[in-house]
Amino acid sequence: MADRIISILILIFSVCYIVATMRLPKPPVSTLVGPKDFPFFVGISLALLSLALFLKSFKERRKTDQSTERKGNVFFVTLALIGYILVLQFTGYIISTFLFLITVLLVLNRGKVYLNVIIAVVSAVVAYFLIKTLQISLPEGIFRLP
Amino acid sequence: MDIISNIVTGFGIALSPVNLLFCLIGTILGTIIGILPGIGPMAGCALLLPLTFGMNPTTAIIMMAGIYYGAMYGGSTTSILIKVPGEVSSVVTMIDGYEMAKQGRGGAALATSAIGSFIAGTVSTIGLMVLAQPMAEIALKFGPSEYFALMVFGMTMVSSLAGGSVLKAIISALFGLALATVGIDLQSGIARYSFNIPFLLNGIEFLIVAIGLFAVAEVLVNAGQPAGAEKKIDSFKGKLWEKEEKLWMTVEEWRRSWGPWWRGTVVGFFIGLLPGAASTLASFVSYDLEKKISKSPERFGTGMIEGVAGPESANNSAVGGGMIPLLTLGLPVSGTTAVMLGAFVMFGLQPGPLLFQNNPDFVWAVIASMYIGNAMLLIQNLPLVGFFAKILDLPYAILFPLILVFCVFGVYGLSGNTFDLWLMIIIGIMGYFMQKHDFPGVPMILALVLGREMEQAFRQSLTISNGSFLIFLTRPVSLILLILAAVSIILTVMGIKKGFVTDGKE
Repeated sequence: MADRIISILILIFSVCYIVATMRLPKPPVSTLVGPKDFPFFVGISLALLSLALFLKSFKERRKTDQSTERKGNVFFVTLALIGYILVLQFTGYIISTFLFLITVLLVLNRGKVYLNVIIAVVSAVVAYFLIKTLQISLPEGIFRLP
Repeated sequence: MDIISNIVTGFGIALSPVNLLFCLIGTILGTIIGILPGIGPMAGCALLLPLTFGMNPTTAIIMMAGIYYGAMYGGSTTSILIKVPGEVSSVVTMIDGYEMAKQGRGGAALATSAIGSFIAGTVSTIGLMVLAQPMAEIALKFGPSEYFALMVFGMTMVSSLAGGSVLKAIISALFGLALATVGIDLQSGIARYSFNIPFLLNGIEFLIVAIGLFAVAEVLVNAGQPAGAEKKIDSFKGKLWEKEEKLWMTVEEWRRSWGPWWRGTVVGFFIGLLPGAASTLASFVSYDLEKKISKSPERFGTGMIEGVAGPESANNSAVGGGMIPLLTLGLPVSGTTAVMLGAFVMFGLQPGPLLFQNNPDFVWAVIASMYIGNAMLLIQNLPLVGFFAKILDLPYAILFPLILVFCVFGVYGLSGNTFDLWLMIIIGIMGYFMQKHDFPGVPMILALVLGREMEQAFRQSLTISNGSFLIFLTRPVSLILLILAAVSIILTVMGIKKGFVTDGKE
């Protein structure tokens, strides 16, 4: 069942991709093989294979998911990561890293408050020195770093 | 001799204090990565790549090669001691290695794997030295249609060996090709699929996709692991040695390891030349071979040292073999070599036949450093095993948020804009679903890395032939490569590989 949905999604993607390819502007200098041909080739192959996957999904009966996966955790980590990027732009790398780590650790590594705080602080400090030594430009945010 | 003088120059550069230091750092980081579950050598190389910013390209690539080798070593350590293969290629090692550890011969298992890996690494480096130059010369004769066919062959091999459904693997590769077409087309100057987003004009950076697909997605998958899943492995930790016995191998164990080391090395090297899941396949083939020629095949799986020595040599030898197509043809044969190729390009080096002419110092220094890296790993692995095993006590709950922090650090350090961070998250979520539904990520990365080159070759070929696709079939080399590509798919679909792999696992 899942494969069927996925194959439909890929088919939609490949159709959009082919349409976008056809709508590409004409190159100023016309050549025999232009910028559209290769993508066109890729798009058509992708569409055909997604159809094949669609048809194949009827043949295969997959047993129902007896999943013990903790979807909540996955969802939480994803959200935290999104939040991290949002906060990053305002507070800079160091502070947002600390906030991200402390949030995720307090939830996933429950009950070890001191350890979690130490890890978050140490990581943020290490990050600071890495940035300085490698001279990588990370957002400094509202608090300028020395 | 040309090669001799080249390699001497190479050693001269590789032995400089700075390069030695970074080779050491690389091998240590690599070993740690290999031991940690959840980040493979590919994600490890991608994540650590930002650390090499500002280094000179030779030093950077030396460190990357160290990480790669180290990860292979580290992966075997954990599969022997706690039955957790850090990498897929050490799954086979686990079968007899863990049994040996249970019988108190863990030390001997680690020793045979370290020495075997060292022999394999050394021999395959020599093979690389000897074969690279002639290969590069042949490659110089390749026209665009041969290159196109070569890339098609590489991608289909990787897809058919990725495990699971070939159909899904090829879909994954095609999706990677589609991603590769994003950005300004260099020939016509037309911006394709960039939706007026300036960050997309230069195309999608492969590193961001690699980090999203292999690090972020991996963390998400692991975050969803049910509680206590990781507890199971703690029930028994293999012993390094029994009280009365030695940590080191006995004379008998030396004798029994000798053959498998060499056979594994040879098998691994040649399999490594082929695109695909080289080191994994190499270790399976070697295990199978040892079992077949053994006088007591029924005892395999009960702690036979041959079952550790052979596959471990084979998978390390395959790494060296895999460097040949990467350096001479610019064709990565695995996910990790794809990341390496990306790193080369980032440093302005284009792997391929011309690399040997234009940057001989670089190439030979890297080759020399692979040798040095192997020696370093041998020296550091045995005494440090206890320390490395301790790393495993780090709970997942702490490890995974830190990996994510490093992902953000890496991606932002690379590009300096938040757009790429969003892209990383999107790819990460996509990678999570890909893993859940058995779409392999490696074909996609490979396609993304090769996509642009492939399109160029495609266009040049068709321009030469006036638009006729027959050019790919009338030139003998490209015809052979395309036939091989088709055969690899047909064989896999027929299930030959499946039967083979399960055979190895027994």
